[in-house]
Amino acid sequence: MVGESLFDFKGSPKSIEALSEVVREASTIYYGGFVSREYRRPSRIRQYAELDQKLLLLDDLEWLAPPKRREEARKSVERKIDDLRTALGDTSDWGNVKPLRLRHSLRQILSYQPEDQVITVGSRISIQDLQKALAEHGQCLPFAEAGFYSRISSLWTVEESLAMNLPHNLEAQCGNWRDWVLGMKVILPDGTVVTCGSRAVKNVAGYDLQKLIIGSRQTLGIIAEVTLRTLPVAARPSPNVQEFPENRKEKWPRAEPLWIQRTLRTDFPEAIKAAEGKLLEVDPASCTLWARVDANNDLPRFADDWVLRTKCGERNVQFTNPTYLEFMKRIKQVFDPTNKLNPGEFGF
Amino acid sequence: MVQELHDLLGADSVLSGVAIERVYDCDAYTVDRSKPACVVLPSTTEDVAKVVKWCNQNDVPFTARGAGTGLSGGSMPAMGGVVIATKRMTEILEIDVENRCLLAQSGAVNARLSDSVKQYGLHFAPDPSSQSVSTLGGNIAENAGGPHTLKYGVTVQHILGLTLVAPDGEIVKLGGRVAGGPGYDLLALFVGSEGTLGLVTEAWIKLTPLPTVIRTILISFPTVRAATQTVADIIATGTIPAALEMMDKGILNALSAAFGLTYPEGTEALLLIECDGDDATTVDEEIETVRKICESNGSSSIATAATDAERAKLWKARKSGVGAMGRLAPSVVTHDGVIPRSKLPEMLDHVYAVAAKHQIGVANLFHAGDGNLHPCFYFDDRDPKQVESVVAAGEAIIRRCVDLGGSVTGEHGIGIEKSDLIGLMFDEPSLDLQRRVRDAFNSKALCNPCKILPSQKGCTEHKRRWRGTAW
Repeated sequence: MVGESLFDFKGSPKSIEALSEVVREASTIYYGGFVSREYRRPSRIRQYAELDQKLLLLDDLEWLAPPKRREEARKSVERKIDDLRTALGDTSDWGNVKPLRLRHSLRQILSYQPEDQVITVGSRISIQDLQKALAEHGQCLPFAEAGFYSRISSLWTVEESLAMNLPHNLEAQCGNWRDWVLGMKVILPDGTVVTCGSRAVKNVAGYDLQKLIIGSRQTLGIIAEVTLRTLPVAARPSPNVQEFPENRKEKWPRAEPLWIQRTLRTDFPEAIKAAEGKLLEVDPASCTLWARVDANNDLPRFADDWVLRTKCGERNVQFTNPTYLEFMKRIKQVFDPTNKLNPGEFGF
Repeated sequence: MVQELHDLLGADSVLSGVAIERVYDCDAYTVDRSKPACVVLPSTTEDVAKVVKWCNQNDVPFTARGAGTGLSGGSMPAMGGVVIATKRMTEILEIDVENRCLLAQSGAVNARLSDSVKQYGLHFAPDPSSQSVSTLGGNIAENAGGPHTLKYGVTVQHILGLTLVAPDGEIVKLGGRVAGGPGYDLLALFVGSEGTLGLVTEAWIKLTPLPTVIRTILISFPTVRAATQTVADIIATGTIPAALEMMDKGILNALSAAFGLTYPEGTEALLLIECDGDDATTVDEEIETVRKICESNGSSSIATAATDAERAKLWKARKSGVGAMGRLAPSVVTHDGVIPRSKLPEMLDHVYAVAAKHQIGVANLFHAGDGNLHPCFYFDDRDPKQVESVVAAGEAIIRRCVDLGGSVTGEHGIGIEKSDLIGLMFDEPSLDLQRRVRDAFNSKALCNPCKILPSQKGCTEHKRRWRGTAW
């Protein structure tokens, strides 16, 4: 039974140990307001309730919002839970289903050595707060300042941003989370806390498991602490992003059904042409485009390209290489043999 | 075994005998050795798959080998069996200049990759010091670094796609010519897995434009501490040179003996610093910042390269360092540890103290900008006592690296050398997770056995036999 003293309906686990206990006790965890497809579906929640499964719904939307929008986001989370309550009846009928607004206290700067350009933070720190702390020492994470869609994840917490590892418009010049993260502490679905990587700026000791977790959409483990290498602000280049505000339909980037595509340099002009009228942003340096394309439509595909979508359900991520999918399943089986974390996120 | 492999690949592709056992019983880490039953020389991915399937059918261990320049025993055939050498897999299969990528077989030599695209203003950025002989496959297995990784990153950041033969013999393709993509980062798992998750046979590599402006300076310091403090100060300013390398007196003595290179009197350490880019003003400002920091730390002389030839001359000291140490003793073990860069001064003091305590010679040349140390112990591996001292001294240094918040290896890998030391960085649950990931792809443990992880079944007993059996 999940310990009520650790958190309540509106509370939060207060430490890695408390969070790991919550995780260990749960049967299924839908984690992250943006990434999960299923957890807002009352019918699925009811199934869990009927089976008396220990389901956790961890939502952190409140803490993903910029500070000025947090109150609004908090209300939005409560509305979502109210919706569930309406759909499912009073919480007493929910069995072991536990909606939990996650704001675990792991959002501090745990250590920072500006002289070594290395910082360790609790994973729930917002990137804005992190950037502010780094800026005091003339350092940064090299996300771009410009670009509405390509910097979506720079508005989130460190945890969700690296769990999604979306492309951004300084990626060609400065890399992405897979280049910035040196190590992390991760809570596995059985509650075990493991260390991946290290705090050294260069390290090849063992398998690079932290790189597997980056971009894994919280399907392998819950990230508790992250060690990052930082960049001098002076070394951060300006992005060469082209925006198309006339094609925007929604106020918030998350509300758009996005089509994010990266192609070979030689195919990029044609890809841009094909997305005409739907383009939201283009980053020529990494040959990445962001377009507004809903689930019922597609844009042309090109050799070796890849596509990432939002608001398209099962079509958000599709793997064309069956071996790749098979290998991903093997890894999922190692980390999460009972398929507890964000089941279905990658189609398994 | 040999006859069956002859039948699979042809007689000229299988080597065996006493001389072969001697040549292939270790890589450039010579402390531990283990003889292979035979060596095969496949030419294609399909050849490799045939051999791996045969090994699976017959429960024979197999180990991939490139040029044998690895420094942690990664290509030592720990349990005997078959060494699969990529010496005949050297083709550059496709150069895609417009998309800045290149497809090569895994036995292609690192430097040749860059040479083949120099005419297009491109290069393969990872540049391990062994680059004139080490192979792409070896670089991928070890996630090799090099002097310029300070700015350009290590091998994993330059690999776009892989063809590999999985430990069960299946041919698998991962990635392609476009970087990134959704899903788990399988490329990053396989790159740096030291040949324990499969054998890479071909790779699409990223090509990086050559910088148009390069400034290289070689600076002499009267004390090692002044040089290490300079490195810490440069990093603290936020300047990122393309390369920031250090050499101490031990290396300079070896270079003088081997190549007649001379240095100003009173030099105890050299820093080789390179800044590059496409904007001359910016690069000049960077090098000026560096120069001032050097002067404030008492640098005693500065040499600046004005031409490519002069630049090559300045790099000669760095690139020839380990080779030159062959003049000092029959064997050299190049250690590899990482520390936070601000700890360099105290760490170097510790290295000298450890060498003195164990009465072995040490020289240092390393990637100072990354905090990646390479203490080189020179000794006679025919003397078991010296071998023991080298192992003990290495362990003392690596332990201090971890205590200071660093790593047991920055670019050489765990291999055999550090399989007992990886536990300094990871607790048992973390190692167990790594073990289970390995087992998910290498369930029979035939693919490069006994590497990376400690206390593997059947490996401990063999380990007693490996150590100290040189010659």
